[in-house]
Amino acid sequence: MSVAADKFAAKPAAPPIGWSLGARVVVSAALLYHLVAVLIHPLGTMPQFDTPGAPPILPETVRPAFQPYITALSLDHTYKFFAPNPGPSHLLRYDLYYADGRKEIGDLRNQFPDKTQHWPRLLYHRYFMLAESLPRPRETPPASAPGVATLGEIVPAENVPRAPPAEGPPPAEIYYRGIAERLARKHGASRVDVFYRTHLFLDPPDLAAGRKSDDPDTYREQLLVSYTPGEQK
Amino acid sequence: MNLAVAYLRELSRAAGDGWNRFWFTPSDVATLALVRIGAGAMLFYTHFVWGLGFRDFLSPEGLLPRTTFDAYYGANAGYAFTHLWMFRSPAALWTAHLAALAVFAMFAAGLFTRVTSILTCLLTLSYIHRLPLVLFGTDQLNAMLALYLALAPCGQAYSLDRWRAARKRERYGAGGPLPDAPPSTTANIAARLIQLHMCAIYFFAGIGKLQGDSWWAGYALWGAAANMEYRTVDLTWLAHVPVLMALLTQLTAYWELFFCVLIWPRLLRPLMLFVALALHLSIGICMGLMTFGLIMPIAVYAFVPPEWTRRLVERRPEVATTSGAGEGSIKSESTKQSGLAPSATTGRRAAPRSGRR
Repeated sequence: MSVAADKFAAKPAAPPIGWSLGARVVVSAALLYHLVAVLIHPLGTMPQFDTPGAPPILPETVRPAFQPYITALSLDHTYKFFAPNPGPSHLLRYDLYYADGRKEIGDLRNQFPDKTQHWPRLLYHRYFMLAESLPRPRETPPASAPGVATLGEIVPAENVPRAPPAEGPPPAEIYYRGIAERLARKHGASRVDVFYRTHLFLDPPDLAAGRKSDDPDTYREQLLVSYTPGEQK
Repeated sequence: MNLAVAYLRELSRAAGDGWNRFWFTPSDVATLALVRIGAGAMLFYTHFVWGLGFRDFLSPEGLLPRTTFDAYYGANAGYAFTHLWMFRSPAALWTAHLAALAVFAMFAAGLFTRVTSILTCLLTLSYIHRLPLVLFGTDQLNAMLALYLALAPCGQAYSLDRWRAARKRERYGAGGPLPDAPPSTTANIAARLIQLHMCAIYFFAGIGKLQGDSWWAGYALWGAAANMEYRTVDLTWLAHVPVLMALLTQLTAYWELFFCVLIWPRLLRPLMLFVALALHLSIGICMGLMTFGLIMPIAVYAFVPPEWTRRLVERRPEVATTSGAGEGSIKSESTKQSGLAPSATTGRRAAPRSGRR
Protein backbone atom coordinates (compact mmCIF):
# COMPACT_ATOMS: atom_id res chain seq x y z
CA MET A 1 0.00 0.00 0.00
CA SER A 2 1.33 3.41 -0.87
CA VAL A 3 2.15 5.99 1.77
CA ALA A 4 -0.72 8.14 0.60
CA ALA A 5 -3.17 5.26 0.88
CA ASP A 6 -1.82 4.52 4.34
CA LYS A 7 -2.56 8.04 5.37
CA PHE A 8 -6.25 7.60 4.71
CA ALA A 9 -6.60 4.00 5.78
CA ALA A 10 -5.43 4.49 9.33
CA LYS A 11 -7.35 6.81 11.59
CA PRO A 12 -4.84 9.00 13.42
CA ALA A 13 -4.52 8.23 17.08
CA ALA A 14 -6.63 10.45 19.28
CA PRO A 15 -4.48 12.98 21.07
CA PRO A 16 -4.18 12.55 24.81
CA ILE A 17 -6.64 14.55 26.87
CA GLY A 18 -5.26 16.27 29.92
CA TRP A 19 -6.78 16.31 33.40
CA SER A 20 -9.30 14.13 35.18
CA LEU A 21 -13.01 14.18 34.41
CA GLY A 22 -13.77 16.13 37.60
CA ALA A 23 -11.22 18.80 36.80
CA ARG A 24 -12.52 19.08 33.25
CA VAL A 25 -16.11 19.51 34.44
CA VAL A 26 -15.15 22.30 36.86
CA VAL A 27 -12.96 24.08 34.31
CA SER A 28 -15.61 23.67 31.60
CA ALA A 29 -18.17 25.38 33.80
CA ALA A 30 -15.73 28.23 34.46
CA LEU A 31 -14.98 28.54 30.74
CA LEU A 32 -18.67 28.70 29.87
CA TYR A 33 -19.26 31.38 32.49
CA HIS A 34 -16.34 33.39 31.17
CA LEU A 35 -17.37 33.09 27.53
CA VAL A 36 -20.91 34.22 28.33
CA ALA A 37 -19.42 37.18 30.23
CA VAL A 38 -17.36 38.10 27.15
CA LEU A 39 -20.51 38.16 25.01
CA ILE A 40 -22.95 39.92 27.34
CA HIS A 41 -21.77 43.50 26.86
CA PRO A 42 -21.58 43.54 23.06
CA LEU A 43 -24.86 41.62 22.85
CA GLY A 44 -26.51 43.97 25.30
CA THR A 45 -25.56 47.15 23.46
CA MET A 46 -28.51 48.43 21.53
CA PRO A 47 -28.03 49.17 17.87
CA GLN A 48 -28.76 52.73 16.85
CA PHE A 49 -31.87 52.02 14.85
CA ASP A 50 -34.39 54.71 14.02
CA THR A 51 -36.99 53.46 16.45
CA PRO A 52 -35.69 53.25 20.01
CA GLY A 53 -36.58 50.08 21.81
CA ALA A 54 -36.11 48.30 25.09
CA PRO A 55 -32.66 46.86 25.84
CA PRO A 56 -32.07 43.34 24.49
CA ILE A 57 -33.92 40.98 26.80
CA LEU A 58 -31.56 38.03 27.08
CA PRO A 59 -28.25 39.77 27.94
CA GLU A 60 -29.98 42.20 30.29
CA THR A 61 -31.69 39.35 32.12
CA VAL A 62 -28.48 37.50 32.89
CA ARG A 63 -26.26 40.58 33.29
CA PRO A 64 -26.68 40.94 37.10
CA ALA A 65 -25.07 37.55 37.64
CA PHE A 66 -22.09 38.59 35.55
CA GLN A 67 -21.66 42.33 36.12
CA PRO A 68 -19.08 42.14 38.95
CA TYR A 69 -17.01 39.70 36.88
CA ILE A 70 -17.38 41.84 33.75
CA THR A 71 -16.27 44.97 35.61
CA ALA A 72 -13.39 43.27 37.41
CA LEU A 73 -11.95 41.78 34.23
CA SER A 74 -12.74 44.79 32.05
CA LEU A 75 -15.00 42.88 29.67
CA ASP A 76 -17.42 45.77 29.17
CA HIS A 77 -16.61 46.52 25.55
CA THR A 78 -18.81 46.60 22.48
CA TYR A 79 -15.92 46.11 19.98
CA LYS A 80 -17.72 48.35 17.50
CA PHE A 81 -14.66 49.98 16.03
CA PHE A 82 -15.72 52.81 13.69
CA ALA A 83 -19.27 51.49 13.73
CA PRO A 84 -21.99 52.02 12.83
CA ASN A 85 -20.41 54.85 10.80
CA PRO A 86 -17.12 56.71 11.13
CA GLY A 87 -18.17 60.06 12.49
CA PRO A 88 -16.69 63.48 13.12
CA SER A 89 -13.90 63.97 15.65
CA HIS A 90 -14.47 65.50 19.04
CA LEU A 91 -12.01 67.71 20.85
CA LEU A 92 -11.87 69.78 24.01
CA ARG A 93 -10.76 73.39 24.04
CA TYR A 94 -10.51 75.65 27.05
CA ASP A 95 -10.29 79.33 27.79
CA LEU A 96 -8.37 80.54 30.81
CA TYR A 97 -9.02 83.64 32.92
CA TYR A 98 -6.47 84.78 35.49
CA ALA A 99 -6.92 86.76 38.69
CA ASP A 100 -4.63 89.50 37.39
CA GLY A 101 -6.94 90.10 34.45
CA ARG A 102 -5.02 88.15 31.80
CA LYS A 103 -7.05 85.94 29.50
CA GLU A 104 -6.27 83.12 27.08
CA ILE A 105 -9.31 82.97 24.84
CA GLY A 106 -9.53 81.04 21.58
CA ASP A 107 -5.94 79.82 21.87
CA LEU A 108 -5.79 76.54 20.00
CA ARG A 109 -2.78 75.40 22.02
CA ASN A 110 -5.27 75.01 24.85
CA GLN A 111 -6.87 72.01 23.24
CA PHE A 112 -7.07 68.23 23.65
CA PRO A 113 -5.58 66.63 21.64
CA ASP A 114 -2.84 68.78 20.16
CA LYS A 115 -0.26 67.21 17.87
CA THR A 116 2.28 69.88 18.69
CA GLN A 117 2.24 69.15 22.43
CA HIS A 118 1.09 65.59 22.86
CA TRP A 119 3.80 63.20 21.78
CA PRO A 120 4.35 60.29 21.28
CA ARG A 121 1.30 59.45 19.28
CA LEU A 122 -0.11 57.19 21.99
CA LEU A 123 -0.14 60.12 24.42
CA TYR A 124 -1.90 62.23 21.78
CA HIS A 125 -4.43 59.44 21.48
CA ARG A 126 -5.07 59.41 25.22
CA TYR A 127 -6.09 63.07 25.14
CA PHE A 128 -8.09 62.40 21.99
CA MET A 129 -9.98 59.55 23.67
CA LEU A 130 -10.79 61.78 26.63
CA ALA A 131 -12.65 64.11 24.29
CA GLU A 132 -14.20 61.23 22.34
CA SER A 133 -15.33 59.30 25.41
CA LEU A 134 -17.09 62.12 27.21
CA PRO A 135 -20.87 61.96 27.16
CA ARG A 136 -21.82 63.93 24.10
CA PRO A 137 -24.05 66.96 24.05
CA ARG A 138 -27.32 66.06 22.41
CA GLU A 139 -26.82 67.83 19.16
CA THR A 140 -24.19 69.56 17.13
CA PRO A 141 -25.36 73.09 16.42
CA PRO A 142 -25.41 74.15 12.78
CA ALA A 143 -22.65 76.49 11.68
CA SER A 144 -25.20 79.24 11.14
CA ALA A 145 -26.48 79.12 14.71
CA PRO A 146 -25.94 82.45 16.48
CA GLY A 147 -22.89 82.45 18.69
CA VAL A 148 -21.41 79.21 17.40
CA ALA A 149 -17.65 79.59 17.50
CA THR A 150 -15.44 78.48 14.68
CA LEU A 151 -11.72 77.91 14.45
CA GLY A 152 -9.64 80.89 15.50
CA GLU A 153 -12.57 83.07 16.43
CA ILE A 154 -12.39 84.75 19.79
CA VAL A 155 -15.80 84.16 21.27
CA PRO A 156 -16.11 84.34 25.04
CA ALA A 157 -18.14 81.73 26.81
CA GLU A 158 -21.05 84.11 27.38
CA ASN A 159 -21.69 84.16 23.64
CA VAL A 160 -21.40 80.42 23.04
CA PRO A 161 -24.46 78.24 23.53
CA ARG A 162 -24.20 76.02 26.56
CA ALA A 163 -24.41 72.40 25.51
CA PRO A 164 -27.77 70.84 26.22
CA PRO A 165 -27.72 68.05 28.80
CA ALA A 166 -25.62 65.13 27.64
CA GLU A 167 -27.15 61.87 26.62
CA GLY A 168 -27.15 59.18 29.23
CA PRO A 169 -26.86 59.31 32.99
CA PRO A 170 -25.94 62.40 35.05
CA PRO A 171 -22.15 61.84 35.49
CA ALA A 172 -21.41 64.09 32.51
CA GLU A 173 -21.27 67.21 34.70
CA ILE A 174 -18.92 65.44 37.11
CA TYR A 175 -16.56 64.49 34.28
CA TYR A 176 -16.56 68.03 32.88
CA ARG A 177 -15.90 69.50 36.29
CA GLY A 178 -13.04 67.08 36.97
CA ILE A 179 -11.33 68.21 33.78
CA ALA A 180 -11.91 71.90 34.51
CA GLU A 181 -10.56 71.54 38.06
CA ARG A 182 -7.33 70.03 36.78
CA LEU A 183 -6.92 72.76 34.14
CA ALA A 184 -7.53 75.53 36.68
CA ARG A 185 -4.95 74.01 39.03
CA LYS A 186 -2.43 73.36 36.26
CA HIS A 187 -2.56 76.89 34.88
CA GLY A 188 -3.33 78.75 38.11
CA ALA A 189 -6.45 80.19 36.49
CA SER A 190 -9.29 81.80 38.36
CA ARG A 191 -11.82 80.61 35.78
CA VAL A 192 -11.82 77.91 33.13
CA ASP A 193 -14.35 77.48 30.34
CA VAL A 194 -14.25 74.07 28.64
CA PHE A 195 -15.71 73.72 25.17
CA TYR A 196 -16.71 70.64 23.24
CA ARG A 197 -15.50 70.93 19.66
CA THR A 198 -16.92 68.84 16.89
CA HIS A 199 -14.77 68.62 13.77
CA LEU A 200 -16.85 67.54 10.82
CA PHE A 201 -15.10 65.96 7.86
CA LEU A 202 -15.70 67.06 4.32
CA ASP A 203 -17.34 64.99 1.62
CA PRO A 204 -15.30 64.17 -1.49
CA PRO A 205 -17.10 66.75 -3.65
CA ASP A 206 -16.32 69.48 -1.10
CA LEU A 207 -12.66 68.53 -1.12
CA ALA A 208 -12.60 68.37 -4.91
CA ALA A 209 -14.07 71.89 -4.93
CA GLY A 210 -10.96 73.10 -3.10
CA ARG A 211 -12.19 73.24 0.47
CA LYS A 212 -9.73 72.34 3.24
CA SER A 213 -10.28 69.75 5.95
CA ASP A 214 -9.65 72.40 8.60
CA ASP A 215 -11.82 75.13 7.13
CA PRO A 216 -13.32 77.15 9.98
CA ASP A 217 -16.87 76.12 9.20
CA THR A 218 -16.00 72.44 9.72
CA TYR A 219 -15.83 73.12 13.48
CA ARG A 220 -18.73 73.48 15.92
CA GLU A 221 -18.30 74.45 19.54
CA GLN A 222 -20.46 74.16 22.63
CA LEU A 223 -19.70 75.23 26.17
CA LEU A 224 -19.50 72.25 28.51
CA VAL A 225 -18.62 73.90 31.78
CA SER A 226 -17.56 77.25 33.16
CA TYR A 227 -15.61 76.59 36.35
CA THR A 228 -14.38 78.94 39.03
CA PRO A 229 -12.19 77.35 41.74
CA GLY A 230 -13.89 77.34 45.09
CA GLU A 231 -17.41 77.55 43.72
CA GLN A 232 -20.05 75.23 45.13
CA LYS A 233 -20.63 72.01 43.23
CA MET B 1 -37.79 6.94 17.82
CA ASN B 2 -34.74 4.70 18.07
CA LEU B 3 -33.17 6.68 15.29
CA ALA B 4 -33.73 9.95 17.15
CA VAL B 5 -32.29 8.52 20.37
CA ALA B 6 -29.31 7.15 18.51
CA TYR B 7 -28.79 10.51 16.85
CA LEU B 8 -28.94 12.39 20.14
CA ARG B 9 -26.57 9.91 21.75
CA GLU B 10 -24.13 10.28 18.89
CA LEU B 11 -24.52 14.06 18.98
CA SER B 12 -23.77 14.31 22.70
CA ARG B 13 -20.83 11.92 22.40
CA ALA B 14 -19.37 13.88 19.49
CA ALA B 15 -19.93 17.20 21.27
CA GLY B 16 -18.25 15.90 24.42
CA ASP B 17 -15.30 14.52 22.48
CA GLY B 18 -14.98 17.71 20.51
CA TRP B 19 -15.16 19.85 23.64
CA ASN B 20 -12.47 17.76 25.33
CA ARG B 21 -10.24 17.83 22.28
CA PHE B 22 -10.70 21.55 21.79
CA TRP B 23 -10.00 22.61 25.37
CA PHE B 24 -8.06 19.85 27.06
CA THR B 25 -5.50 18.63 24.56
CA PRO B 26 -2.09 19.57 25.97
CA SER B 27 -0.28 21.97 23.73
CA ASP B 28 3.25 23.22 23.20
CA VAL B 29 3.73 26.68 24.66
CA ALA B 30 5.85 28.11 21.83
CA THR B 31 3.14 30.25 20.24
CA LEU B 32 2.00 31.69 23.55
CA ALA B 33 5.58 32.49 24.41
CA LEU B 34 5.86 34.68 21.31
CA VAL B 35 2.51 36.29 22.12
CA ARG B 36 3.91 36.96 25.61
CA ILE B 37 6.92 38.78 24.17
CA GLY B 38 4.74 40.95 21.90
CA ALA B 39 2.07 41.65 24.50
CA GLY B 40 4.64 42.24 27.22
CA ALA B 41 6.49 44.77 25.08
CA MET B 42 3.22 46.51 24.26
CA LEU B 43 2.21 46.58 27.93
CA PHE B 44 5.55 48.08 28.86
CA TYR B 45 5.25 50.75 26.18
CA THR B 46 1.64 51.71 26.87
CA HIS B 47 2.34 52.05 30.58
CA PHE B 48 5.58 53.92 29.93
CA VAL B 49 3.49 56.45 28.03
CA TRP B 50 1.11 56.80 30.99
CA GLY B 51 4.17 58.02 32.85
CA LEU B 52 4.68 60.77 30.25
CA GLY B 53 1.22 62.04 31.11
CA PHE B 54 1.66 61.36 34.81
CA ARG B 55 0.13 64.56 36.19
CA ASP B 56 -2.82 64.62 33.83
CA PHE B 57 -3.71 60.95 34.03
CA LEU B 58 -2.23 59.12 37.00
CA SER B 59 -2.26 61.85 39.63
CA PRO B 60 -5.34 61.90 41.90
CA GLU B 61 -5.57 65.58 41.02
CA GLY B 62 -5.42 64.91 37.28
CA LEU B 63 -8.09 65.00 34.60
CA LEU B 64 -9.72 61.87 36.03
CA PRO B 65 -10.08 62.46 39.77
CA ARG B 66 -11.81 60.17 42.23
CA THR B 67 -15.18 61.83 41.61
CA THR B 68 -14.96 60.86 37.93
CA PHE B 69 -14.01 57.30 38.84
CA ASP B 70 -16.94 56.96 41.24
CA ALA B 71 -19.39 58.49 38.78
CA TYR B 72 -18.20 56.26 35.96
CA TYR B 73 -18.46 52.96 37.80
CA GLY B 74 -21.39 53.84 40.03
CA ALA B 75 -22.55 50.81 41.97
CA ASN B 76 -19.80 48.69 40.38
CA ALA B 77 -16.93 50.83 41.71
CA GLY B 78 -16.13 48.16 44.28
CA TYR B 79 -15.32 45.65 41.53
CA ALA B 80 -13.09 48.05 39.58
CA PHE B 81 -10.12 47.46 41.83
CA THR B 82 -7.09 49.66 41.38
CA HIS B 83 -4.06 50.03 43.58
CA LEU B 84 -3.33 53.49 42.24
CA TRP B 85 -5.68 55.29 44.64
CA MET B 86 -3.56 54.06 47.52
CA PHE B 87 -0.73 56.47 46.74
CA ARG B 88 -1.35 60.08 47.65
CA SER B 89 2.10 61.58 47.20
CA PRO B 90 3.62 61.91 43.73
CA ALA B 91 6.80 60.17 44.94
CA ALA B 92 4.89 57.12 46.14
CA LEU B 93 2.84 57.01 42.95
CA TRP B 94 5.96 57.30 40.81
CA THR B 95 7.56 54.47 42.76
CA ALA B 96 4.52 52.27 42.20
CA HIS B 97 4.51 53.19 38.53
CA LEU B 98 8.19 52.38 38.06
CA ALA B 99 7.67 49.08 39.86
CA ALA B 100 4.84 48.28 37.46
CA LEU B 101 7.09 49.05 34.49
CA ALA B 102 9.71 46.70 35.92
CA VAL B 103 7.10 43.94 36.17
CA PHE B 104 6.01 44.47 32.56
CA ALA B 105 9.63 44.38 31.39
CA MET B 106 10.30 41.16 33.30
CA PHE B 107 7.13 39.62 31.90
CA ALA B 108 8.10 40.50 28.33
CA ALA B 109 11.56 39.07 28.85
CA GLY B 110 10.15 35.99 30.56
CA LEU B 111 11.84 36.47 33.91
CA PHE B 112 10.11 34.82 36.90
CA THR B 113 7.23 34.50 34.48
CA ARG B 114 4.89 32.49 36.65
CA VAL B 115 4.78 35.37 39.13
CA THR B 116 5.19 38.30 36.75
CA SER B 117 2.43 37.03 34.44
CA ILE B 118 -0.09 37.16 37.28
CA LEU B 119 1.23 40.53 38.48
CA THR B 120 1.06 41.81 34.90
CA CYS B 121 -2.59 40.81 34.65
CA LEU B 122 -3.47 42.49 37.96
CA LEU B 123 -1.52 45.65 37.13
CA THR B 124 -2.99 45.93 33.64
CA LEU B 125 -6.53 45.70 34.99
CA SER B 126 -5.66 48.11 37.77
CA TYR B 127 -4.50 50.81 35.35
CA ILE B 128 -7.50 50.21 33.10
CA HIS B 129 -9.89 50.59 36.01
CA ARG B 130 -8.15 53.77 37.11
CA LEU B 131 -8.36 55.45 33.69
CA PRO B 132 -11.80 54.68 32.29
CA LEU B 133 -12.38 57.60 29.89
CA VAL B 134 -9.09 57.55 28.01
CA LEU B 135 -8.99 53.96 26.82
CA PHE B 136 -9.37 52.47 23.36
CA GLY B 137 -8.93 49.20 21.50
CA THR B 138 -5.28 48.74 22.47
CA ASP B 139 -6.22 48.65 26.12
CA GLN B 140 -8.97 46.12 25.51
CA LEU B 141 -6.48 43.83 23.79
CA ASN B 142 -3.84 44.45 26.46
CA ALA B 143 -6.25 43.38 29.18
CA MET B 144 -7.41 40.34 27.26
CA LEU B 145 -3.90 39.09 26.55
CA ALA B 146 -2.64 39.80 30.06
CA LEU B 147 -5.54 37.84 31.49
CA TYR B 148 -5.15 34.76 29.31
CA LEU B 149 -1.36 34.72 29.41
CA ALA B 150 -1.52 34.69 33.21
CA LEU B 151 -3.27 31.31 32.95
CA ALA B 152 -0.56 29.65 30.93
CA PRO B 153 3.07 28.70 31.53
CA CYS B 154 4.02 31.19 28.83
CA GLY B 155 7.54 31.63 30.19
CA GLN B 156 8.50 28.08 29.31
CA ALA B 157 9.88 29.05 25.92
CA TYR B 158 11.81 32.01 24.53
CA SER B 159 12.37 33.48 27.96
CA LEU B 160 15.05 34.38 30.46
CA ASP B 161 13.57 31.67 32.67
CA ARG B 162 14.51 29.09 30.03
CA TRP B 163 17.92 30.62 29.57
CA ARG B 164 18.53 30.48 33.31
CA ALA B 165 17.32 26.88 33.46
CA ALA B 166 19.67 25.94 30.61
CA ARG B 167 22.59 27.63 32.37
CA LYS B 168 21.78 25.83 35.59
CA ARG B 169 21.60 22.52 33.78
CA GLU B 170 24.95 23.21 32.18
CA ARG B 171 26.50 24.22 35.48
CA TYR B 172 25.43 20.99 37.17
CA GLY B 173 26.60 18.94 34.21
CA ALA B 174 23.22 17.39 33.45
CA GLY B 175 24.34 17.03 29.87
CA GLY B 176 22.57 17.72 26.61
CA PRO B 177 20.37 20.63 25.68
CA LEU B 178 17.45 21.64 27.84
CA PRO B 179 14.40 19.75 26.57
CA ASP B 180 11.22 21.56 25.59
CA ALA B 181 8.76 22.10 28.36
CA PRO B 182 6.12 19.36 28.25
CA PRO B 183 2.86 20.14 26.44
CA SER B 184 0.48 21.90 28.75
CA THR B 185 -3.30 21.84 29.03
CA THR B 186 -3.39 25.35 30.47
CA ALA B 187 -1.34 26.58 27.51
CA ASN B 188 -3.98 25.13 25.22
CA ILE B 189 -6.83 26.67 27.23
CA ALA B 190 -5.16 30.08 27.17
CA ALA B 191 -4.58 29.91 23.42
CA ARG B 192 -8.18 28.79 22.85
CA LEU B 193 -9.49 31.66 24.95
CA ILE B 194 -7.47 34.18 22.96
CA GLN B 195 -8.69 32.60 19.72
CA LEU B 196 -12.36 32.66 20.72
CA HIS B 197 -12.11 36.15 22.16
CA MET B 198 -10.61 37.38 18.90
CA CYS B 199 -13.45 35.74 16.99
CA ALA B 200 -15.93 37.58 19.22
CA ILE B 201 -14.11 40.89 18.75
CA TYR B 202 -14.08 40.61 14.96
CA PHE B 203 -17.65 39.36 14.82
CA PHE B 204 -19.03 42.27 16.82
CA ALA B 205 -16.78 44.70 14.95
CA GLY B 206 -18.24 43.35 11.70
CA ILE B 207 -21.85 43.14 12.82
CA GLY B 208 -21.63 46.67 14.23
CA LYS B 209 -20.59 47.93 10.82
CA LEU B 210 -23.66 46.34 9.24
CA GLN B 211 -25.70 48.93 11.13
CA GLY B 212 -23.99 51.73 9.25
CA ASP B 213 -25.08 52.85 5.81
CA SER B 214 -21.56 54.02 4.97
CA TRP B 215 -20.25 50.46 5.27
CA TRP B 216 -23.03 49.15 3.03
CA ALA B 217 -22.63 51.93 0.49
CA GLY B 218 -18.85 51.64 0.48
CA TYR B 219 -17.68 55.06 1.61
CA ALA B 220 -16.94 54.39 5.29
CA LEU B 221 -13.21 54.44 4.61
CA TRP B 222 -13.62 58.05 3.63
CA GLY B 223 -14.49 58.79 7.25
CA ALA B 224 -10.99 57.67 8.19
CA ALA B 225 -9.23 59.22 5.19
CA ALA B 226 -10.80 62.64 5.70
CA ASN B 227 -10.51 62.70 9.48
CA MET B 228 -7.73 65.12 10.34
CA GLU B 229 -7.41 64.04 13.95
CA TYR B 230 -6.74 60.41 13.08
CA ARG B 231 -4.92 60.42 9.81
CA THR B 232 -1.16 60.34 9.58
CA VAL B 233 -1.04 59.56 5.85
CA ASP B 234 -3.08 61.62 3.41
CA LEU B 235 -5.54 59.24 1.76
CA THR B 236 -7.91 61.86 0.42
CA TRP B 237 -6.86 60.84 -3.10
CA LEU B 238 -9.29 57.95 -2.54
CA ALA B 239 -12.02 60.46 -3.41
CA HIS B 240 -10.88 60.10 -7.02
CA VAL B 241 -11.05 56.29 -6.95
CA PRO B 242 -14.43 55.54 -5.37
CA VAL B 243 -14.38 51.94 -6.57
CA LEU B 244 -11.18 51.25 -4.64
CA MET B 245 -12.60 53.00 -1.58
CA ALA B 246 -15.74 50.86 -1.76
CA LEU B 247 -13.74 47.68 -2.26
CA LEU B 248 -11.51 48.34 0.76
CA THR B 249 -14.49 49.41 2.87
CA GLN B 250 -16.51 46.32 2.17
CA LEU B 251 -13.56 43.94 2.35
CA THR B 252 -12.87 45.26 5.84
CA ALA B 253 -16.47 44.79 7.00
CA TYR B 254 -16.92 41.32 5.51
CA TRP B 255 -13.47 40.13 6.57
CA GLU B 256 -14.26 41.09 10.17
CA LEU B 257 -17.70 39.52 10.01
CA PHE B 258 -16.53 36.17 8.64
CA PHE B 259 -13.20 35.96 10.44
CA CYS B 260 -14.78 33.74 13.12
CA VAL B 261 -15.55 31.12 10.47
CA LEU B 262 -12.72 31.43 7.98
CA ILE B 263 -9.84 31.37 10.46
CA TRP B 264 -10.43 27.73 11.44
CA PRO B 265 -9.77 25.79 8.19
CA ARG B 266 -6.04 25.18 8.04
CA LEU B 267 -5.89 25.97 4.36
CA LEU B 268 -7.35 29.44 4.84
CA ARG B 269 -5.57 30.27 8.07
CA PRO B 270 -2.31 31.63 6.58
CA LEU B 271 -4.36 33.80 4.23
CA MET B 272 -6.52 35.13 7.07
CA LEU B 273 -3.45 35.81 9.18
CA PHE B 274 -1.79 37.64 6.32
CA VAL B 275 -4.88 39.80 5.76
CA ALA B 276 -5.02 40.53 9.50
CA LEU B 277 -1.42 41.67 9.45
CA ALA B 278 -1.91 43.82 6.34
CA LEU B 279 -5.18 45.32 7.57
CA HIS B 280 -3.98 46.22 11.03
CA LEU B 281 -0.60 47.54 9.98
CA SER B 282 -2.36 49.72 7.38
CA ILE B 283 -4.66 51.09 10.09
CA GLY B 284 -1.67 51.64 12.32
CA ILE B 285 0.34 53.50 9.71
CA CYS B 286 -2.43 55.50 8.06
CA MET B 287 -4.44 56.44 11.15
CA GLY B 288 -1.68 56.89 13.69
CA LEU B 289 -2.93 53.91 15.67
CA MET B 290 0.30 51.97 15.66
CA THR B 291 -0.21 50.38 19.07
CA PHE B 292 -3.59 49.04 17.98
CA GLY B 293 -2.14 48.10 14.60
CA LEU B 294 0.44 45.94 16.35
CA ILE B 295 -1.50 44.47 19.26
CA MET B 296 -4.19 43.00 17.00
CA PRO B 297 -1.72 40.91 14.94
CA ILE B 298 0.00 39.92 18.18
CA ALA B 299 -3.30 38.55 19.49
CA VAL B 300 -4.18 36.95 16.18
CA TYR B 301 -0.83 35.17 16.29
CA ALA B 302 -2.44 32.84 18.86
CA PHE B 303 -3.96 31.05 15.86
CA VAL B 304 -0.54 29.98 14.65
CA PRO B 305 0.09 26.32 15.54
CA PRO B 306 3.03 25.96 17.95
CA GLU B 307 5.03 23.79 15.57
CA TRP B 308 4.84 26.57 12.98
CA THR B 309 6.31 28.85 15.62
CA ARG B 310 9.10 26.36 16.38
CA ARG B 311 9.87 26.10 12.69
CA LEU B 312 9.76 29.85 12.27
CA VAL B 313 11.86 30.76 15.28
CA GLU B 314 14.15 27.77 15.64
CA ARG B 315 14.25 26.54 12.03
CA ARG B 316 13.12 23.14 13.23
CA PRO B 317 12.14 20.56 10.64
CA GLU B 318 8.45 19.97 10.02
CA VAL B 319 6.83 17.43 12.32
CA ALA B 320 3.57 15.57 11.99
CA THR B 321 0.75 17.25 13.82
CA THR B 322 -2.17 16.11 15.86
CA SER B 323 -4.21 18.73 17.62
CA GLY B 324 -4.26 21.27 20.41
CA ALA B 325 -4.41 25.03 20.05
CA GLY B 326 -4.05 25.73 16.39
CA GLU B 327 -4.52 22.03 15.60
CA GLY B 328 -1.35 20.40 16.04
CA SER B 329 1.16 20.88 18.64
CA ILE B 330 2.15 17.69 20.14
CA LYS B 331 4.15 14.72 19.21
CA SER B 332 4.59 12.13 21.84
CA GLU B 333 5.98 13.89 24.84
CA SER B 334 8.89 11.51 25.28
CA THR B 335 10.11 11.73 21.70
CA LYS B 336 9.73 15.45 21.69
CA GLN B 337 11.67 15.91 24.85
CA SER B 338 14.43 13.67 23.69
CA GLY B 339 14.83 15.74 20.56
CA LEU B 340 14.44 12.58 18.50
CA ALA B 341 11.09 13.25 16.83
CA PRO B 342 11.30 11.89 13.28
CA SER B 343 10.59 14.36 10.55
CA ALA B 344 7.31 13.71 8.79
CA THR B 345 8.74 14.84 5.50
CA THR B 346 12.08 13.09 5.54
CA GLY B 347 11.57 10.27 7.99
CA ARG B 348 14.94 11.13 9.48
CA ARG B 349 15.43 11.93 13.10
CA ALA B 350 15.92 15.57 13.86
CA ALA B 351 19.39 16.64 14.81
CA PRO B 352 19.93 17.35 18.49
CA ARG B 353 18.90 20.89 19.23
CA SER B 354 21.26 23.57 20.26
CA GLY B 355 19.35 24.54 23.35
CA ARG B 356 17.97 27.78 21.95
CA ARG B 357 14.62 28.26 23.63
